[in-house]
Amino acid sequence: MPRCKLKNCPYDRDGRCVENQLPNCPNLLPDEPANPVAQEAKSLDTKATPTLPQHEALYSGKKLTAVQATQILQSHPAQVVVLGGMVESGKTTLLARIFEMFQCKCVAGHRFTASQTLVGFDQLSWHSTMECGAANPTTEHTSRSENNLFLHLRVQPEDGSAPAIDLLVADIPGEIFPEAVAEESVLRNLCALARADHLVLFLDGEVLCDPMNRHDPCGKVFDFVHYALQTKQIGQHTVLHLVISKCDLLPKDGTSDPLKYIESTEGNFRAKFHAHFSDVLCWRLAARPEAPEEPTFENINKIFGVWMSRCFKQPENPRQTPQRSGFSRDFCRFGL
Amino acid sequence: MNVKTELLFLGLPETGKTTYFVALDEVLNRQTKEHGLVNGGFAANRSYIEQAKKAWRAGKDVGRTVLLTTDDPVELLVSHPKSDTTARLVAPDVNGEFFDRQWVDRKWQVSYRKQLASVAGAFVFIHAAFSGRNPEMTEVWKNLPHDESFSADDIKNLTSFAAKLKQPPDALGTLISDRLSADTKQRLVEYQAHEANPNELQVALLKDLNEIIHGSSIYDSQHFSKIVLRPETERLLGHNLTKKNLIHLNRLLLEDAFPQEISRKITKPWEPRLAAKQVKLVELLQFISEQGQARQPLALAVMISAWDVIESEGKPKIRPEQFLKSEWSLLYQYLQANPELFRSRIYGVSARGGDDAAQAKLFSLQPHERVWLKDGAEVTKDLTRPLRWLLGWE
Repeated sequence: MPRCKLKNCPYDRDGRCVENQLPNCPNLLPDEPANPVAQEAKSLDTKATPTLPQHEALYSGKKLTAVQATQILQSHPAQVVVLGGMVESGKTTLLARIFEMFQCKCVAGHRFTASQTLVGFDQLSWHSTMECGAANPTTEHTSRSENNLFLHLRVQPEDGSAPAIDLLVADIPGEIFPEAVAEESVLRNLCALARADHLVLFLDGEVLCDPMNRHDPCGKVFDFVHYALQTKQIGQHTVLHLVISKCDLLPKDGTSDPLKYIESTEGNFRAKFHAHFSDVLCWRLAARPEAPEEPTFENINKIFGVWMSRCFKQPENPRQTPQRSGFSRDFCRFGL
Repeated sequence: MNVKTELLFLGLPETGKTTYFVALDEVLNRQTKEHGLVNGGFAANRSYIEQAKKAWRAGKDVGRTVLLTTDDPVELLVSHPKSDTTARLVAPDVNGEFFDRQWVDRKWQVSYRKQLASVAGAFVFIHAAFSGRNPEMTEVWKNLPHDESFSADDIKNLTSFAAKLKQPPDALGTLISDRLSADTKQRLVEYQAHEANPNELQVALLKDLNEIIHGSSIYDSQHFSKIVLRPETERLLGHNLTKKNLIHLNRLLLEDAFPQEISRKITKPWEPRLAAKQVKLVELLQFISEQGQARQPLALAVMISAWDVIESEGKPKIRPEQFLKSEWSLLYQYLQANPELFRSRIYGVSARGGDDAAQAKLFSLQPHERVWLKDGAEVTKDLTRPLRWLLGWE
């Protein structure tokens, strides 16, 4: 394969020409004829005088495992947020939008302080924008293999008035969500749930407009909460959220059937679960609406603010908290 | 003289590192102030600077016109006569690939990590012409109309396409042909008779195709029964579609129906190198703070190169810090939130003095007199100011 003699030309890596003169760029070097003898000599020479610099690995930047997340929980005040819902219910898009908002300004009065999962966030943003949405609405957002993995974000009040706090976000893959309603073992395997400060369940607003197909996802959300309460993975230590996503696709007429159905669902959700949780909150979001609608920035800011501001029973310095202290948010709740 | 301190040049590709390096070298060599900083002697790989300097002195864009390569670090020695101290400025890789690869490959050279332990500070370069965000993603996030439209490159065999539309070989061809405008149909006839310009037919076809995909669904099971649909098309067919996705489906259906004539629009898969510049830069700083064993807080002079782009005629005057806050907000927030790791100061620098158009006016000045720097609201010709701040030589 031809090579480029310019060091800063990416041709060798991705075929792009820095001078945009393909296929006749004068800097391209022709193929070297295969010469086994010469290659062997070159190889021997390399072995004789190793000149390659030594490298060492840096952290991956990808989503954290439960073990890595636990290390953060044991060293910093942290909030754990678990997102659940059917495939394409808007979980990934909301996370991607929040990361996008941080790239423009502070979010909910909090500034970006650090992240161990910038690669994970970037990948998520790419999937939410370039690979799906308008281009492909059926892209698998969070794959099964990403169960029990966490995105990490450390933020701090914009004015620096309080210490930074870590946010760990687990996104239950859309295909696992209905399985967790059907199989206790699957539900119990959602290790983040037991440490969740916030459980955020999503219902696709567009699906809720479909009179025939809206009942099943609604039923699954209710069932999920019901069973997770039974297994005692969630409870009074958790704030429960119901998010109606893609609300830009809901009819504007307040008396329409879909809006009545949604209001009734939200009402039932509050009534059924209010006594079991620290709080029950309902949201209507459009993280990436169709033009000309604007995203619901105000509500996205609000929900993020709630995730960050409601610190329940956090020790001031977790390092000094004795293991097995009986502290209700002990890290052993991760089951590790 | 003793070399006591070392400063690092850090930045992604094409961020103006070489230009500043060259301009700084020239300024140091032409120093006239009694206690001003001067060149401290021959540093390693000086030939690189000298090669770039020829283009810079001629007012050319060094990054664009001088495709220099060097595998070795580029260095500059700076002397502070008053304290009889010399500092070494080191650019491990002036091209910046070295830093981009840290983000992509998730590894760095051991020698670089060791070097970090001894540096007193670093110049961090970004370019004023670029936002820290990924431009493609930003466009989608801003909800700009997603471009599903066909363009000239999408028709890969006009002759075959025209033939199939003029005399449709099947019911599907007839379905599409019937949706063409009278004007396009006339051009098809003329094209077949070699009486017309193929470009005119192509333009007419593109216009009609784009109207077709923006209309109602072109799918019906009977017409498409003999067409092999790709999995993505079949998945979409099973969904209630929004208007945006209907346009996408129609495009996919046309691509599947005419695979020899219409190119498939390929969705770019995620690659680390496509990440937003500010995300990469924040990660580079996190590498330094987490694994670099550098001193804390490490002094950072954030250099916004080509500042003349920001302050060209007619544009409102802003401070470099304001630019960073609005265009590279993630980086700005990170620096603000971590004073225990990094203490930073932000400068705008015009190491050429102006863009291509401004060069003619600048030729009357000596090259080292063309340069200027913005520090807060103040404009100064003193290019060594960030250097003195980093070294505590103010």
